[in-house]
Amino acid sequence: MVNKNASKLLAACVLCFLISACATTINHVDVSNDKIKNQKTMASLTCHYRLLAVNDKRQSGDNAGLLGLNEFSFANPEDVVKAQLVAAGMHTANDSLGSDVVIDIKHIYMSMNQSSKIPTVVYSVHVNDSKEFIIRGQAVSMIWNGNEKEAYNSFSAAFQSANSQLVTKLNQLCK
Amino acid sequence: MSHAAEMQPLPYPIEPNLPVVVILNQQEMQVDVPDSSAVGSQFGLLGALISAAADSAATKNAEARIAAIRNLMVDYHFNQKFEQAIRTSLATPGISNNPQITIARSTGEIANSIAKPRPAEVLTNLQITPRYSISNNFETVSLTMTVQYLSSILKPNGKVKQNIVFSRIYKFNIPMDPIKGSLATEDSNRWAALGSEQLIVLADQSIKQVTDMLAFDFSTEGRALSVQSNKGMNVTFKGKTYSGRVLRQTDDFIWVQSGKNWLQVINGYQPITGIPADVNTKSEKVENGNSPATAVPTTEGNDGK
Repeated sequence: MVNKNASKLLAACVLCFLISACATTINHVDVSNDKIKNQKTMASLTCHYRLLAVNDKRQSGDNAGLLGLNEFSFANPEDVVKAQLVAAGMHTANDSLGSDVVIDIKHIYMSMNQSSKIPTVVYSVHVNDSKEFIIRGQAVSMIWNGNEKEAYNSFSAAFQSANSQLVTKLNQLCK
Repeated sequence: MSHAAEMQPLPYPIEPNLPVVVILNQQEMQVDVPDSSAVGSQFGLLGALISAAADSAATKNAEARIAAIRNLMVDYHFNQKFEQAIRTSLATPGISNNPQITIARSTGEIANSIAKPRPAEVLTNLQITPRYSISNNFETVSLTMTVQYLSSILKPNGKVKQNIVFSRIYKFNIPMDPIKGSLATEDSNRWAALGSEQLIVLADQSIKQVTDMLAFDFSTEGRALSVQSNKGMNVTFKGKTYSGRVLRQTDDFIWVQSGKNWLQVINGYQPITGIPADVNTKSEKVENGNSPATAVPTTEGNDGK
């Protein structure tokens, strides 16, 4: 008798779980800059550059895509870019050393393709008055559980990819 | 969501003050990587994991190949251009005199854009979702526009039930002539070698064509053709045969209606020759800002009307 009741309770629990699993609600996440962190050591600049400005020129505004049931809004990405580049040895606008660098942020978003997540960060970079170039940071990987922590790690990897490429490119331009 | 077995013709116009939600949440051109999970899942957990890893590798390759194309279009405002074009197409006699258009740029905004019905009330809205993408083999660039007319009611338990009243896909395809031995990487270079200016011409053309298809499909002529059988019809255009009825044809492109009822679609095709010569040479020209001028047929003054 006890076993029969236990079976009924288990069946009810499973049914409740399945019903609740079917009801999908999107969780809105305001991305916190503090949680975007370098996961690996980044190379340093080998000559002097001065970061004049980082401009948010994203066509899509703050919308930064989806991972699982989490939808991201990224309000102030300029600070993330500045902090990582200053950590790599770039001077701030107050300094008078080096070539002038202006960065326009074009895209920051998370997209999904089947079982992969694709965090993407795109800059247009101007050095002094030379022709701009594009930096595209991505970190494609499999989706595990699609939670916020996974998204932050993924965004962090995309920023690190973009900033590492930028440092490499700027080092190539050193005379 | 549910729908009736047979899709019924919509009123003319659909509604005088038709509520429309245009979903513009795509940020850059996508790559259509095929789903291999169904094959993998037949072999249990290990199969599913292997399949997911294969998907991830395919996505990495596709993302690497599309990067140069995206970079050339980094300042192209696809969503803004699409919004302008769809506003014009919606305000046509067969659709609505005064469409009430909401632009949703995120999933949260989609939910906020759709009103919740009161008890015994039936609310309707037209949802339009474009997707601009390139095939995984980098042979065809497409703009796929999904259009659904939905009705919603409030169920006694307080939840909203949605019913699909109409659903159709309008797709404009730009295939690049294949070259023997040119695989996905080489073909992605051929697209990039078109240069920014030509890629933008093609994107503008795709937007114009799918939005024109929608207006045509709900015109008196389009509605009449929609309910006639296209079974057994086909057309050969620029060496390729397409099944279905020709709705529009110019020297550059063709529209073909195929399938019936819920499965009816309108496909457009504008084949281009692309860059047949040394891709590396042409890529250098792109970097210098000199895009080749003869690769893509011009569409100016030739909209097929």
